[in-house]
Order: sequence, then C-alpha cells, then structure tokens
Amino acid sequence: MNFKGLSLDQAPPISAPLRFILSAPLFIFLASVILFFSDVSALNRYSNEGIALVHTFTLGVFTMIMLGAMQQMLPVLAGVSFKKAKLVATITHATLSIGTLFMVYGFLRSTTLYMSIAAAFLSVAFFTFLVAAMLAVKEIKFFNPTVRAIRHAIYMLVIVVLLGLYLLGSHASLNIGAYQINLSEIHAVLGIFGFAGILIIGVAFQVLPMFYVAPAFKAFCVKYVVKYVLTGTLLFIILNVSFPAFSFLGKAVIALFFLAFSSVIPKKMYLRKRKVRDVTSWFWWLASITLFLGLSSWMIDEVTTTDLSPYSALFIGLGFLLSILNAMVYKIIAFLVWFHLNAKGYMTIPTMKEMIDEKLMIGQFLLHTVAIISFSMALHVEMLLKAGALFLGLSALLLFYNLLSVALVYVKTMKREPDFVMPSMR
Amino acid sequence: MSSIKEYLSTDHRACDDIFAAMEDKASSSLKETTSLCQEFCDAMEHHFQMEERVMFPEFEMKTGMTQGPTEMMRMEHTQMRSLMSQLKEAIDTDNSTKFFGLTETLMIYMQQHNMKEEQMLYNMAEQHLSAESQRVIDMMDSLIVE
Repeated sequence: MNFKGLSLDQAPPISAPLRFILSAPLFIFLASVILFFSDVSALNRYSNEGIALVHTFTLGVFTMIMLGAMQQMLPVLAGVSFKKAKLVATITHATLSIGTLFMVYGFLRSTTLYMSIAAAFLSVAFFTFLVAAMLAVKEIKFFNPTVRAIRHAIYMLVIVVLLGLYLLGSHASLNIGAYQINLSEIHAVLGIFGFAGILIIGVAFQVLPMFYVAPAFKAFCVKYVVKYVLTGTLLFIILNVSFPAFSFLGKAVIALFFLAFSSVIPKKMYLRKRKVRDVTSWFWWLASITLFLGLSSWMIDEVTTTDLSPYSALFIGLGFLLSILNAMVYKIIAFLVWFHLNAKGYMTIPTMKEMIDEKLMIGQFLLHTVAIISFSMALHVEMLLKAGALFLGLSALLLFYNLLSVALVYVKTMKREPDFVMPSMR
Repeated sequence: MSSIKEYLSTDHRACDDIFAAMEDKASSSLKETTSLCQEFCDAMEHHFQMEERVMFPEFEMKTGMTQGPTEMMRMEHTQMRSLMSQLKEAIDTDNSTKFFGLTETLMIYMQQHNMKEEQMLYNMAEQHLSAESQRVIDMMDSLIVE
C-alpha cells in the first residue's frame, strides 16, 4: 500500500511548483508584447504570427501552470508522487521554457532552424513529464472522478504533443502536407478540450464544493464526464479525418457539455455557502461568461461565412482558461508557502490574506477583464488591440508582482531560525 | 447503513457549513462571531476525536500501522487545533484582518487534509474495517468529547 501522498516530506519541494507558477506571468507579458506590435489582419490561426502568439499562451502559460500544478495535486488527490520530483521539475521547466521561446521566435521570424531547436527542447520537456506522470498514475490505488479526469488529461496530452511535434516538424522542414489543417484542428481541439478543459472541470469538481463550500456537482455529471468528452473528441477526430463536412457534429457534442459546465458555474458560485469576498471567485464568474461566449462563437462560426475563430480563441483561451488558472495560482501559491514553512517548524507566518494585498489582486482582475473586453472589440476598432495589449501586459506584471511577493515571504522567513524543530526534520 | 467513508465525509461537509456561517457572521460583526466560532471549534474537535479515539486505533490495530497515514493525520489535526485557537484570539482582540487571514489558511489546510482522508485513508479504512464498519460508526456516533 502506498502512503507517500499522506506524508509531508514526500510532497515535492516548493521550488518544483513555484518555478512553473512564477514563469507563467512572464509568458503572458511576452504575449502582450507580441500583441502590441502585431497587426490585427496578420493574426489568424494559420499565420506564423498567430501560431507564435497562440503557443506563447498554450505552452508558456497554460501548460506551464498545469504541469506545475499536477505535480502538486497528485500527491494530495491520489496519494502518489513523482519519482525524482525535483529533477523532473528542473528538466521539464527548463526545456519547456527554452523550447517555447525558440518556437515563438522561430515563428515570428519564420526561421526553420529555431523551430527545429524548439521541437528538440519541447520533446525533452514533454517526454520527461509524461513518463514521470504515467509512472505515478500507475501507482494510484483509489480513483475518484477528479483523479480519473487527471489521468485522462495526461493520456490526451500524449496525443496532443505527438500531433504538435509532427506539425512543428512539418513547419521546420517546410513540408506542409495535405492534412496539415485537419491535424492542426485536431491538435487544437484535443489540447483545449481534451487536455486543458477536462483537467479544469475535473479539478472544479473538487475545488468548488470544497474551497468555496458550493453545492456538489450532480453525480451523473461527475461520473460520466470523462466518457462523454472522450466520445465527443473521438467523434470529432473520426469525422474530421473521414467526413470533414460533418466534423461540426463532433464539435457540437463537445460544446454542449462545456456549455452546460459554463451555465453550472454561476449557479454553484451563487449558491455557495462561503459568502465572504473572495477575488478568486470573480475570476470563476468571468471564466463562465467568457466560456459561454467562446463556445457560442465556435459553433456560430460553423454556420456563417464570417470567421469568428479569433473570438472563440480569445474567449476560450484568455477568458475561460486564463481566468481559472489565474484564480488557482493565487490559491495554490499562498497555500504552498504557508504549508512548507509550517512543515519546517515556522509557526509565526503571515496568514494567506496578509501575503497578497487584496487591492492589488482586485487591480489585476480589473486589468485582465478590461484586456479581454478591449481585444473583443479590436477587430472593429484596431487601436483597441494595442490598448488590450497594454492592459494585458500590466495585468501580467501585477500578477507576477503579487505571486513574487508571496514567494519572497518564504525566502525571508527561511532566513530566520524556525520556532519549532520537528523530530522528523532533525 | 452508511459506510465509514460516508459517515466521516458527511461530517466534513457539516463542519464546512458551520465554517461558512462563521465567516459570514464575521463579515458583519466579528465580536458577535464568538458563539459560532465556538460551535465550529467544537464540531471540529468532535470530528478529530471520532478519528483519534475510535477510527484510527481500530485501523492501526487491524493493520499494525501506527507510524503511517494516521500519524500524519494526527499531526495535521494538531496544526488545525493551533489555527483554531488563533482564530479565537483574533476575535478576542477584534482583529478582523488576522481573522480572515486565518480562516483562509485554515480553509485550505482543512480541505487538503479532507482530500487526503476522503481519497485515501477512508478508502483504506473501508477495506480493512469492512466487517466492523457498523460497530465503528456506532462507537463514533456515541462519542462524548473529552
């Protein structure tokens, strides 16, 4: 029987998740710089500039946070930890960061050499993480819907990465095949819904009822979520490859579920028993609204001639995913610092609310929201692209400052003698 | 007949409900939160003792593991007891910043603790104590807090 997850000293060292969390705002800032110097007309999903921008978010921000968080969550939720956690974190973080930078620069400059270097670094990053994650998942003894969702997300990530590396390789070798568009669509849909979406929903099943004391999710929804989304994604892949004209049916199945999820969040948040002001709950509200807008544009895009894909990317990526991850990193980082200091025998630690200034959190939330609103109107009023980029950049810097100030509490406290030395720490 | 897991998990949610009511009251008047805070601390203490005096010893006796997960859970109970006594101090000194800082910390500490118990320890307990399940629940049910 495995009890590792129950033991404090088996939890990964704090530096493992921290480096992922602190890097994410820097990549958001990088994305804001790219957006500031971009031209609206050049930003479509198949242009090199568009690919660079999208992957600054998907790799540098979303994947960065999720890989860091998963190393932290598996011990608590499933009782298993990564073997050689620090080494895995060091290799994954370094190669993911370098690989993303090379990829972004490679696409912005259309330099195939940098794309090849990016492919090499990203292969190492994902190979290291996925092998460690799959070895850990193999050890899980007790499954619940959240753990099942995490396992599903890890397997989905394997497919997303393989497709991504193939697509990156074809760009690097200037060998764009006939199936490039189909494969990139499958890559995107599996990445956003199969990996990130399912992971977030799985975690929401736990986080909302527990941390916000919100009503639990309906049993059938919790039970069948993985099967349902898996069916939708498989249907989408099969139709996309065999009958592209009907691939919207696969999309519809996926969208229907996520629409239901977007409508359930406000209900849960409204009915939550924990009513005290909590800025992170505002991010959940925003995520719910933008997810609804994003999915609506994604579906309407199928029946109109107007290209609505920039809206679905904006609302689902920057709105839904980034808002929820933003809320989660605030909760995770403050707790990690408190938890690790406490475990090391420090008793007089600032409380979690004292670590981050609430006014600055509210400021960051407002900048993030205004950035999304500005971008949503940028297709009509071009100067709003620059304004949105400015707001997003400021939001990223403020997020970085807020997170860093928590990390510094850890560094400062560690410099003094602990109040109490636990027998096991001697 | 409910299982050990169901019984103790339901009690977790009951403690969460009192916690939420306590926070809600504190946001309007910290001074008037004393009785709800006491109610919350009593409910938590009752839960801790159901585990420490009934379920954990039964589990340890059956499995022979005294230094394993139950030991870790006892340590976390001690941490939460310390946070709860600080909560009372914050009310006594009318320090609402401290109070809400502590509730935030306690909330997350409590939930990660609950996750470990509900996801792992209670499942293990069900496996090992399936035959004695009803007796263990009855003993927990009739426990008088010391």
